[in-house]
Amino acid sequence: MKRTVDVSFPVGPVHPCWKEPARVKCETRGEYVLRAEVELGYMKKGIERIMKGRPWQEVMFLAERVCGICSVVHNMVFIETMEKISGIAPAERAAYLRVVANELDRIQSHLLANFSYCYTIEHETLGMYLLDLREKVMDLLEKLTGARVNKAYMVPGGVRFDIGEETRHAILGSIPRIREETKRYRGMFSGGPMIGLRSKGVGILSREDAGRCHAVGPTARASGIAVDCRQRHPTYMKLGFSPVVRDEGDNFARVMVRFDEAIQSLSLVQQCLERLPEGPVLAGGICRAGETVHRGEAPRGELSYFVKTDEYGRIAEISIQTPSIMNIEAAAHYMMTGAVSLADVTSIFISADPCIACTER
Amino acid sequence: MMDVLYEKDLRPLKLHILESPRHRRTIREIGRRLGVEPGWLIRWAMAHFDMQLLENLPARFEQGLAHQGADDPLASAIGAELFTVYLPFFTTEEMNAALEQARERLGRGEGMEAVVKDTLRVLGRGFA
Repeated sequence: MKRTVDVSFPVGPVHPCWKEPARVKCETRGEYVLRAEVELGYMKKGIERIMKGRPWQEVMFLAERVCGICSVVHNMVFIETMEKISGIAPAERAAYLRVVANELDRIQSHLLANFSYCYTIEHETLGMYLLDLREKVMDLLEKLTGARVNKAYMVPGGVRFDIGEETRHAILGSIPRIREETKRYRGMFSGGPMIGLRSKGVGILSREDAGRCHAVGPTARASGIAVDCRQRHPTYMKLGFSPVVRDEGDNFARVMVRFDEAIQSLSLVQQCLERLPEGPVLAGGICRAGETVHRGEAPRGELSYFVKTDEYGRIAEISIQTPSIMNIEAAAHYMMTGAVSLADVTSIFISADPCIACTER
Repeated sequence: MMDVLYEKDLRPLKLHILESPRHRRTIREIGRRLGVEPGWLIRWAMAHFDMQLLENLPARFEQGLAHQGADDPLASAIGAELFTVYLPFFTTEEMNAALEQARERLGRGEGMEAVVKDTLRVLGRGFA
C-alpha cells in the first residue's frame, strides 16, 4: 500500500456482511476511498490440481464442488466441454431439462445475492422475504434433480433422470406465484427511498472500466454491456433469449438486473416445460481425448473451462475461469475507487455478487 | 515484539495463483512479446499487483488483445493500450515516452519491425 493516506482500512476477512472470507484493504483520505486491494487465500481448495489426472467421471462431481451456490452451471459447463471434445450431442429433451435446472439455479442465486445486498444495507425485511422466496425455488430444484446443492444432474449426452408429469406440473404451477412475488419485491426495492439513498449513484462502474477488467454477467450488463453466453447457446437461441441490460452502472442497477433476470428465467423455465419434446434423456457417446475451451453463462457471468483429456478419459489439464474473478476485480479496482464514503465499501462489494469459493477454486 | 495481526506474507499465495495453466500461458505470451524471461515477469507482478489483479491477468490479457485498435499500427504492435490500460505493467507516461522515441526512429526511416522490437526490449528492461 502507498503511504499517502490517512488510514489503510481493512474490511474483513471476517465481516458480518461477507458470506465468505476475503480481505479488502482500502486506502482512505478521510471518508474518501482512494483505492482498494483484495487479499485472498482464506479458502483456497486447489481444486484444479485435485482434478488433474482423475477420470472425467470423478471430475464431474468435483466441478460442481467449486461453488455451492452455482453448482448446476459448473456441472453443465464441464459436461458441455466434455461433449465438445468428444463430439457428443445431448438428447433434445435433456437439453431443455438442462435449461430448466440452470435457470432455476440462476433464480435462487440471484435471490440470494439480492438478499445479501438488502442485508448489507440493513433492509432485513426485504432480505428475509427474498430468502423465503429462494426456498421455494430450491424446493423446485430439489423436485427436479433430487438434491439441493450438489446435484450432478447433467452427464455427457443428457441428464441423469427424466422429469415426471407430476413434477412438471408442480413446477409450472409454482411459476406464477414466484413471478408475482419477485415482481412485488422488485417493486419494494425500486421504490424504497432509503434503498435508493444507499444504492443509486453508489459504486459506479463505467462501461469503459467494465470492458477493461472484463467484467461479466449482471455486473457488466448493469453497465450497459450486452454480454451473455446464453445468446450463443443452441437451446437458448431456440427460446428467443435476449439479455437484460441497464446503463446506470451503480449498485441499484446491478440489483435490478438480477431481479429482472430472475423474472426472465421464470419465463425460460415455463417455455422449456411447455415445449418439452418427447424422447429419451440420454444420448449415447464416448468421452475421447482432446482439448478445448468452453464458455457458459453462470448466474454471475461468463464461466469458462479449459479441459485437456487423454485417451482414457482422464483430465490431463484443466483450468477454470469463474466470473467472480473479473467481477471482484471490477468492484475493488473501479467501483470502490473514489467512493465518497467508507461505509459504502461493503455494499459496493456485495452488489458485485462476489463468490470467494469460485475465485479461489 | 508485536506483529500486526493478519498482515501475512502473500508471496506463496500469489505464486500459487500464477502457477495455473492459464496464467502460465499468459505470462509466457506476455514475456515473449516484451522479450522478458517469465521468471522476471512473475517476480515483478507479485510485487506490484494485488491478488485479484493476478487472478484476472489472463482475462485482462484476452480483453486487451480483443480491443487493440487498428488505427495506429505502431501503438498496436507495441501494445500501448494492452500494457498500460488492460495490464498495468507500465504507466501511461512511460509508454508515451517509448512511443515518442519509436515514432522518431520511424520518421528517420528505420524499419517497423526493428523499432518495435527495440522499444519492447527497452520497456522490458524495467522488469530485471
